[in-house]
Amino acid sequence: MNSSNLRPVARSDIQIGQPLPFSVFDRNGLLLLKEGFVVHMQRQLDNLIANGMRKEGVLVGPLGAGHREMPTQREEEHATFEVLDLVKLRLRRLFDNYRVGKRFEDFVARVENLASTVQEACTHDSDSALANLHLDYESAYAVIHHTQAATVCELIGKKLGVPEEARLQLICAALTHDLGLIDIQDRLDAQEQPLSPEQKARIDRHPADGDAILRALGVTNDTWLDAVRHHHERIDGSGYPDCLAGDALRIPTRILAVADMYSAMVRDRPYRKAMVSRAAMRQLMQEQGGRIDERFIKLMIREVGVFPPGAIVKLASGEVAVVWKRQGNTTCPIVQAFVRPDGMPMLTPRRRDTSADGYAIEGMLPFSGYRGSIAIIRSLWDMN
Amino acid sequence: MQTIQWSAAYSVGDDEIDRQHRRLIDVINRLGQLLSGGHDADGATAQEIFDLLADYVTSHFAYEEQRMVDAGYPLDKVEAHRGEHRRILKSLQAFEVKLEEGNGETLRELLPFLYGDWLTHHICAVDSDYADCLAAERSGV
Repeated sequence: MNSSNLRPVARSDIQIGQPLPFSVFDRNGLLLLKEGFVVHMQRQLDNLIANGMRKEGVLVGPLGAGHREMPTQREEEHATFEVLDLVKLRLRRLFDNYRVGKRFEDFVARVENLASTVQEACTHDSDSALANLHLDYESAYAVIHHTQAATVCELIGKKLGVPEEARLQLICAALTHDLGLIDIQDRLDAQEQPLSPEQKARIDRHPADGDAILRALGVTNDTWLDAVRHHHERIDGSGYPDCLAGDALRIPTRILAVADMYSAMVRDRPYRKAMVSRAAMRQLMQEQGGRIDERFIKLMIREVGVFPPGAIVKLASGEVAVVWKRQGNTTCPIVQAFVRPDGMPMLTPRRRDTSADGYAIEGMLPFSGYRGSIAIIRSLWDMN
Repeated sequence: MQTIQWSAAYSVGDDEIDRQHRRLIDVINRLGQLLSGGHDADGATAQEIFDLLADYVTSHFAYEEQRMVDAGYPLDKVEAHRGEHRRILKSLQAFEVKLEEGNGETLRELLPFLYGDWLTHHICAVDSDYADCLAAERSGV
């Protein structure tokens, strides 16, 4: 889009709790939020007013009411799923720009804006946010991994009562925690051979490198820098780079450590299949017991769910389904069946409550067996 | 009942995608045949049609989108094509829901949709746009 057709959003244009009357873009014309999205958080509203642009000539409000109908509120699950797509796109641009050595004047503001969008998305509908990331087998690993860590950090942080401001900095840390590896992360993800000594050294150095890079880019917040530098430290002192132990590890940093591990484990890799999430969580519990804070592992299992949104599950009915929404009891989410007991795909998925007789979840299945159904699965979150 | 025949003009230059497109023509012909008796199709017939379509969607959409990416087709065009697929799928789902709600006429409306919107517009106009890209990839250009 030609950014010269854009003009700043005015405070009077948008309100908390009301559908956006137009789509909001950044200064480069990149879509931030679609028309009809409802902003719930003051910070997100302030961000849009400080940084948002709208297309010229789109009439809204009292003046425009006669010319154009106000948009209706978009269903939250649809809107949130799309917002996560936009977050990934913006993060990809940020990483691409960093890789080609672009000089950033506004790196901190960009990451904070992304973080507040993640926070907004989780406030809206964390099920859809989690599902989007679970079901994305196309975006670069670096982008999914950082976004997933950010989402899980927000969920756990909120549950623990971490104040909003500190959570925002924790999300910033999650979105940038592997910046020290970002130039080689996608290659490492695709690599089947053992790590070279140089790669091993880069991995050992990346938390300290990330800390230094972020400082050079203008980050001064202590929560953000501490979490990036120490996300591979372990409470028994066996981590790196500074071998911190026990209370020296701050709460936000511990949360990022758990979120980082979870995200790495649920990902399909060329050299090993993703551990489906239940197994991933069990492994976190068993192997890491004593090395990372067990309370946080338990909290994560409670928050993200034994069967997280986006996971593929087999039902007692014989159907295959995708997890749609968590319920109070996270072992019995609402799911959408998309394969019949005879193995035939369904054109229109069917909603099932797994707490009902006959629809209990029997186990999780790898997504890779259902790649062809992705259009049908994604249609569940598709608004248009 | 007149049936549609595959023509070389429909080819996008990829044998597997062409084969899948031919299957869509088979589905459309089958639907035409089922409805040719002049009376509304029964539930079992409708089920058969939607099963064929679900099978087609799951075998074709993801494959075609991946082939386009692999062949280096511009990503914004792949995204637009994916949007077309989403639109078609949404329409098919709406047909299925309407039919389940007891609207027996729906299958008659499905045939023009499959023939006009999908086959003629999507395959003949939209899909043929990436034929050059696939052909260039195959010839190593």
